[in-house]
Amino acid sequence: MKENRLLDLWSARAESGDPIGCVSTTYTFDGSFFEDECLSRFAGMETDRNEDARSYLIEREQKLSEIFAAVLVDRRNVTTKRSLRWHQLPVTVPRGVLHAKLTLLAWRNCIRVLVGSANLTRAGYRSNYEQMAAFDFTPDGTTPASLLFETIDFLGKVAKFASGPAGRLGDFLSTVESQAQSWIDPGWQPRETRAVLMPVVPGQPSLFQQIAKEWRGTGPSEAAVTSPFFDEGERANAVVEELIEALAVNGERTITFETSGRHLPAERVVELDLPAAYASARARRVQHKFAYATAQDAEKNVRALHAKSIRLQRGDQRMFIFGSSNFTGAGTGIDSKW
Amino acid sequence: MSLAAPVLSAYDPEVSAEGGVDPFSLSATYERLAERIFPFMTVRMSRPRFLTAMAVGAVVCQRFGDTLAADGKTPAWLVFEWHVVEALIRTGDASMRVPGIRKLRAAIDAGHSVGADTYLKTPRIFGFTGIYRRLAYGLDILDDDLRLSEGGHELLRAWESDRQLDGLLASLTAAVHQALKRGCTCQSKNWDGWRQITEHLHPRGARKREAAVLAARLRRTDLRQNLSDPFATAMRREMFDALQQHGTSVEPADEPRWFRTVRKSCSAELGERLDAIEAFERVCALITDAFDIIRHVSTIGGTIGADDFARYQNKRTAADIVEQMPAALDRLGRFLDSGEFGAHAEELIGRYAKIRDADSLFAAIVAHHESAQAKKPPDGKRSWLDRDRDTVSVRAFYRTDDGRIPYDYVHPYRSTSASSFLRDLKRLA
Repeated sequence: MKENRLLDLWSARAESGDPIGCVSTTYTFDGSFFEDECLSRFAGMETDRNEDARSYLIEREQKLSEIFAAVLVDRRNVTTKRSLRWHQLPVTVPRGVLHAKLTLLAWRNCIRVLVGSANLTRAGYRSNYEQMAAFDFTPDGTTPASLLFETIDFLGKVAKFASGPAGRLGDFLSTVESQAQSWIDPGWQPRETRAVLMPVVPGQPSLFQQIAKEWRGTGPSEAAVTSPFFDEGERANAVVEELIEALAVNGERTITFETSGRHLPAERVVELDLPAAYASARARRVQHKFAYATAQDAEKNVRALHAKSIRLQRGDQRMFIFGSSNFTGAGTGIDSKW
Repeated sequence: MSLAAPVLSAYDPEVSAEGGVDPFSLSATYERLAERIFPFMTVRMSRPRFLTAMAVGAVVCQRFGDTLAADGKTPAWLVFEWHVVEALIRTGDASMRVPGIRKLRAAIDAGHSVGADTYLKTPRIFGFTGIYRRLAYGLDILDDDLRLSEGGHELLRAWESDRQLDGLLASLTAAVHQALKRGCTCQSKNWDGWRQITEHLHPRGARKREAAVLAARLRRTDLRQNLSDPFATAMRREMFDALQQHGTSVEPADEPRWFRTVRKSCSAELGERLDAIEAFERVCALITDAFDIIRHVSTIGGTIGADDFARYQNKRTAADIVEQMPAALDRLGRFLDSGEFGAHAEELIGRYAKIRDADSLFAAIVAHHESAQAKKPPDGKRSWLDRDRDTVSVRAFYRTDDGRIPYDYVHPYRSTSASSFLRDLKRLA
């Protein structure tokens, strides 16, 4: 998989035009990081607060006064380190948490949706192993607009659980929606690779039910699960059973678990951060395989695995689900979690 | 249709945002020392006639008040600035240095108008109005809202009496009005206004009366003051007088020597201020030399320990720095003991007073740098050096040769800007 600096995804392309506004959702949150690194890139800031503090403050006031910016943060992680030029909206999800990491960036000629596993924190964007995709929507119809409208709809739903000036966020989302409606929408073509938002929302279909709905024909024969966190014991079994439900009913099936781990030379073993329940398969003709990422990369940088994904395959048909869902009951929607 | 595949995050340590200059957090004191001899100026200023252009802009934009251009964000004074810069590009000489000129020249050559999309990305800071507005305020030419002050009226009267303006102001006002409506400049390339702007506002084109007003204002002590330092304008006057007497421009490398010459015959007040600069820069130079030795030896050999540091041979060695540091600190203590600078001087003295050999100097330099980086907002910045027990290695971004060792002054004190001012005003060769 190609490696990119995630912060680059907050910067405009040359043809994107002036920034209009942005909104993000996150579980953990670092307000200073968001302002200094994310928002500054989105707004096209040119000064550095450490090198010319006075110019930085002037430019920040100027740039931020021209755009709308909001972050929907799970209420447990709101920050006091922030400028009043952008909005922090604490979100309280009944019987759950706001765990989605979704960002919508709107410039005059481009709307970008970022879907990934990284929280708006320094570790999330600079050091962890994370996954993220950027979908650009432009007036000439670069990407079919359905994904954008699904994103706007999801953000609107999250906003209903937010306290603070959610009305202004609603206005911003309406503006973006109107802007996109005036652009060309080529729609998804038959046999074309499609992108679909699979929100995990309390009371709505689980991730596995959504997978089953999108998959065509006989279920997948291979699954690879990447996750830094798992449930334990019976709850862990319940999650993997849901996955097996989504796989093909008959034939050999393989599930590969990819997580953090370490080689212990003294014991001559590899230790994986997996529940013991996954050591053996829960069903006949299902095989478990394992892979791991160490906490240090080849250059000895400390890098924690935080990416989450499920890759499914059968023959030529493939599905890649990525974002914020850990392989847990809450993350996949078996429990109540966004 | 192209669908972007998800990417894996690359390791992305903070480099650009970790404070790429000022590894010892010395610049705040330096800026305050510079402000005490050349108040309201910065090292980015060099063309005093931009003050005239700003005064003309204030008159042209008077009738537009707070009106924004069609782009919804550009104020009238900036639309006026677009016209000046476009004129200088269309009809001025190619070698002229004006902020944003290269980018704008390419846009104009490609047939684009000047507007927010084609001009500087941060025009309020990097455009000429952004650069010179503090001086315009200090010389009482414009007020905080860029409206004409008493000095602005005086400057405009002188400018007008130097020239036959042939309706330039009316023509400029009409052009700015149209540009506000369209959100970009909209005069044809044959518009005579371009030629007139360049003829009457070219940065190097000051005539007698206008130059006299600007030169006089730079020497006046009864204009706006920094409240904490009402004597600074008198120091500016003395410095400009000394520069004029010196007869030639002071280049950055000559500045320390010139300050020492001025010190011999200046007022007691200015002498104290120059002594403070000399004392501060002496310590800055020793610290920076030691740090650059560490960076340079590590650049060549990978890691560096105290022994490698002690063995380095150049025009200034670790042993020289150890020997010279006590006298430099003693002088710093004597000349920077006032409340404004005392705390920083004390901190520097505390750090280096116990240096006895290359080992302790090496440790003190590394610790000072790490402490300065750690204190940078918001949550501290990464050191330029990676530590491994008793050795360090410089990170790739901060490798260096040893060409600047030994430093005389580490920081520039605005004499080059002042020289350029006097040259443009025909008071210096």
